[in-house]
Amino acid sequence: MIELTEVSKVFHEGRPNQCQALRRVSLTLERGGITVFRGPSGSGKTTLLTLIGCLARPTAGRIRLDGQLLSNLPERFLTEVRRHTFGFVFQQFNLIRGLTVLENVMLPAYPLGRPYHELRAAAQILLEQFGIGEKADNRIEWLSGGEAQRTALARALINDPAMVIADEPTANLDSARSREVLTLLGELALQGRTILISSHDPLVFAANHVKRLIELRDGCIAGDCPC
Amino acid sequence: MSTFLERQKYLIDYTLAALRRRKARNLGLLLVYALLVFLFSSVLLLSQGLRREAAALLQDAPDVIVQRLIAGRHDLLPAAWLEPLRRIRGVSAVHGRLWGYYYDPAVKANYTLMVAPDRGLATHDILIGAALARIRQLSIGDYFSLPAATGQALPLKVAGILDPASELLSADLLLLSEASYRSLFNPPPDTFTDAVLTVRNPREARTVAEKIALALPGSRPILRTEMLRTYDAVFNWREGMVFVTLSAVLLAFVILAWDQAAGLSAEEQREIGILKAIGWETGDILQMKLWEGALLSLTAFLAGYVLAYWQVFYGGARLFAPVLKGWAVLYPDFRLTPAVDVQQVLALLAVTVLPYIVATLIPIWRAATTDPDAVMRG
Repeated sequence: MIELTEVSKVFHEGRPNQCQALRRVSLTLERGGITVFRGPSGSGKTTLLTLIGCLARPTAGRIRLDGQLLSNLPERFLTEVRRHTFGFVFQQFNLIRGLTVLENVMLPAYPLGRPYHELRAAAQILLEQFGIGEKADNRIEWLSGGEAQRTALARALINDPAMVIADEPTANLDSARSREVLTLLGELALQGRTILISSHDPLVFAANHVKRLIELRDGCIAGDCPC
Repeated sequence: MSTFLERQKYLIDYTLAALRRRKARNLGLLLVYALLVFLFSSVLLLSQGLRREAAALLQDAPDVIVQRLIAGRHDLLPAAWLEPLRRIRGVSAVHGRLWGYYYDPAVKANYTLMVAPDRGLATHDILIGAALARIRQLSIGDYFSLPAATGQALPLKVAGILDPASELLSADLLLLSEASYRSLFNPPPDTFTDAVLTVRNPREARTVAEKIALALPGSRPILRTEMLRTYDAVFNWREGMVFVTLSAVLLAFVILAWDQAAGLSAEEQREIGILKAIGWETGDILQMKLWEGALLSLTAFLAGYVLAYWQVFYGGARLFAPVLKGWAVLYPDFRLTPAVDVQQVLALLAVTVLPYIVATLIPIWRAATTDPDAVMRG
């Protein structure tokens, strides 16, 4: 369970370009299913996901994961939590150019020092699962948008995280590819993983297994409805 | 332990892929780096080789040389000094030497002329150093004349060329008979240029020298160890001069390395952000970059050092020979004995690899400590 208490985030604090992205947000997220954060651009969706995913710290407030306070953990421990608990899928895919599909999928596990053959096999299984097994040795630059997003999904799962955070996962895909990705996310939810998605794509809101829709506006929660 | 090793293997694997991705930039840096190592190692290997060579040759030098000084300047030594020198305890042999210099305006070079009684040379026969033979294009049997003290030309016949193995010291040497020497320079009779002594126990050479100074006021005994020290000092000084010049190159390289690292491309910064976002720690990024620096600098070091080694020991050391062998027209031409000095290699590593790592680490650390959330914002 993730609990946010009075969480605020200010960027460029004390400078002329100061910007308050989140304002005293309190929220409890249960494990399992898909939760979608929706709202217009600049509403604070991505910021909220970066705080939940331990990619940044809140300016004020507390974040707890299964009762453990995350907001005051040193960077090393925060990385540890991020590595084992969260898998990320980014809007721009954020795959490393020049590497193969397989190498990109294996990348999050490099610092853990898992035996090579075991890691390679795990990555290959994920790629097969997502239907791009034959692309394993292709370089990232040669992939279509849908293939790149599936590679990003496989990469997010290589450390077997309990939660997947997907930031606008359908933003760069056509409708058919978007549905494919949503189906895959739905399957992950069925496996018992918690999926957190930020989006303003109606296809996402209507996807199967979405159990909660949270609306954000101007850094505050404007609506919260179970589906 | 195996996890640690596996992790390092992954980091190296990623680093190699990263180096390949920025091929042009890294190749340029590698070339500049290897060139820098090549320059520094060439100087070090050559000057150390020269020192070793000089030391080996001076093993056969006399234990003590005695000169006469007048008003602090070298003067001719009277033959009457030889007897008192012989009487000093510990001295086993003494003989006077005749030698001098001749400046040949035709080739703008100085020759060292020395009488060699032990060679049994006929009056007009000479033996010459290999460099002298080269520059005057002389071979055995050729005639060669020098102006005598009377103004007349003194014809000299080349009876032999000195062993090229001793060319470091004999490059400009011309050995001749006493009669020819006296015809050329007309020194006062019963005088020598200096005297050379053989000491029964070389460890007593310093005591013998002290006794000489006491017995013959105005004498200046020179020990073999002092000659070695002088050669050492000369090569040290020359080496120092080259290093001062090269330090500018080193500085330029550090600036280049800093510029390369500080100006991390947007692509590299994005990559660091992605790695952090997907679970790499700052420490992992730094270790990966350390591997990158180590692989680049060690490859450059190895390439530069091997090239310098080949150049110095097998390529005639053409690059720095004119500076390190001496500013002369008659350059000795000889092959140095190949040798690697571990201490020297470590010193070279310290002056080339460390500045690079220091120059690159700080900017990378700055980039690696930024929050990974930037990557979420595209």
